[in-house]
Amino acid sequence: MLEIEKLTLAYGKAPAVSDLDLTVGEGEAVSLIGPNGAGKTTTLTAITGLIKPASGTIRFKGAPTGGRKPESLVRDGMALVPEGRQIFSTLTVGENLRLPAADLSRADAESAIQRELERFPALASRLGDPAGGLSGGQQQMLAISRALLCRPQLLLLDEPSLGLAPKIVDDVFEALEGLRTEGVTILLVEQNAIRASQFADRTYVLNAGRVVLSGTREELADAELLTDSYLGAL
Amino acid sequence: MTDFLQHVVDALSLGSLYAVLAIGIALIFGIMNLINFAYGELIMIGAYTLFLLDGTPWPFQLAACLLVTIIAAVLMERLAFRPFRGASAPVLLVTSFALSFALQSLATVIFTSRAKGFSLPSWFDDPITIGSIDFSSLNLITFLVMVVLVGGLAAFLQRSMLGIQMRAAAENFRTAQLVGVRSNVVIATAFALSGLFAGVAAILIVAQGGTATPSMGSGPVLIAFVATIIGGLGSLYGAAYGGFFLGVLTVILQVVLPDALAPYRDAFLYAGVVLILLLRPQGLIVVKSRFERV
Repeated sequence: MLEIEKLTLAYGKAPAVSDLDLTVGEGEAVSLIGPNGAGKTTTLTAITGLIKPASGTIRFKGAPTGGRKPESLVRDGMALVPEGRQIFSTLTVGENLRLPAADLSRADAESAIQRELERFPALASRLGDPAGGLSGGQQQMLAISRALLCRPQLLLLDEPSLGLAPKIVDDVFEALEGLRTEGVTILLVEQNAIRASQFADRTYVLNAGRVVLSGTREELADAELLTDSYLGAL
Repeated sequence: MTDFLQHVVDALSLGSLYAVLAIGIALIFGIMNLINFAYGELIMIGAYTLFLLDGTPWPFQLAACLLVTIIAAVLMERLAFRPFRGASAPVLLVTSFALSFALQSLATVIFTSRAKGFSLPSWFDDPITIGSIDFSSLNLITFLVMVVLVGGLAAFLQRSMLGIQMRAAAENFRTAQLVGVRSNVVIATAFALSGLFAGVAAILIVAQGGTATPSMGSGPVLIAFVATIIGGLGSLYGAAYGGFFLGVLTVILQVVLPDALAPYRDAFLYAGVVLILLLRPQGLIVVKSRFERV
């Protein structure tokens, strides 16, 4: 579904990510973890086409993404739940949900939105309210719903648990578990290393722009190994 | 009392014109963070279109003016600004200045720098008397046109899918792209709407002054720019209020300044603007969202 080869990303001359190799197979859930500033968000931003790589290739469904616009990748089946949720706060909850369903017929859009409201019932009573008035957890639900309404084959999530109460984090991971059973391929970026590596089939640990460790859930079950790599001891 | 009402009519009319001008600038700024100084040249293009079609049936003349300014605005984006998309704000600003000068020079080459005099249909100038107040139909037309345009724009932005996409793009362009909003369509629509507002402004300005010159857009674009700053850059409603405010202030100064100081009206006007910005640097209306440049 997603193949990244020798990807180098830089802001000016300072490299943010160096020689990154990463693959996400169809139906797989992969997590990319690492401390602040490791280059996780930069990697996701490059995958969505918002920044251009300094070198290396990104392939989505077998085709290189170089030169493609973010909206074209979205139409092709890629969606992002961005860091900090980035819901449109001046639009209503309903308008936020209608945006990604713009290409659907009215009836199809209504039923797709209805499915999302069943997934996150808390949003149903707030459809007419400005999205900026939602709680942090509700905003995250809205951001996930909005991404799902893009009908993604590959869902990218950037720190979906950031700043949320533990109970809400449980809800978010429960929703992700549901998506996995629906067959959605997931690439999850998280600082919550233990939680993310327990959820994902495979995990990559990124530190200072390089992959320092990668493995399956079973291989990374040793929490100490994960912590060491996370802190840069490896 | 009659004098006062007369001044109110003048203020409403001038404020409406300035509001139309300001919204045209604010539409583009909201989406692209670009202050398009070549907006004045869209007005100039509209005025020369009216001049070239002088003598044709007026519905055709006015509709052609609007169509030409809309097309010119879309072409402006496609040819001049799209190649610089993603460039820094100063680069975009310089591009808009360069485009403005280039279009003015082109107009000078084609039409010379002498003013071309012509007149629009006489019903623009019909005198209207209500009670003891006399005003021209242009005052009323300007006000009504502003109400219709602002109302129509508000309905478009609130109700249509494209309008919702434009509001989303204005709030956060990158995230809008990530939910599939087509950046080219949204930006082209913003320019087309800006062209429509410029065309309407051209008709109102020509109806008032009766001439077209290559540099006729410079004054209006400055007013529009100042009005959007006063209104709080990035807010369409703010731009409309800013335009109205400038119009009203201009008329007030016209009335209260003694004859000896009247030639310095604009100096007082912009001193007032400076004062407002000192007291309220963020403008009259603060936009909640931070715009992302594209």
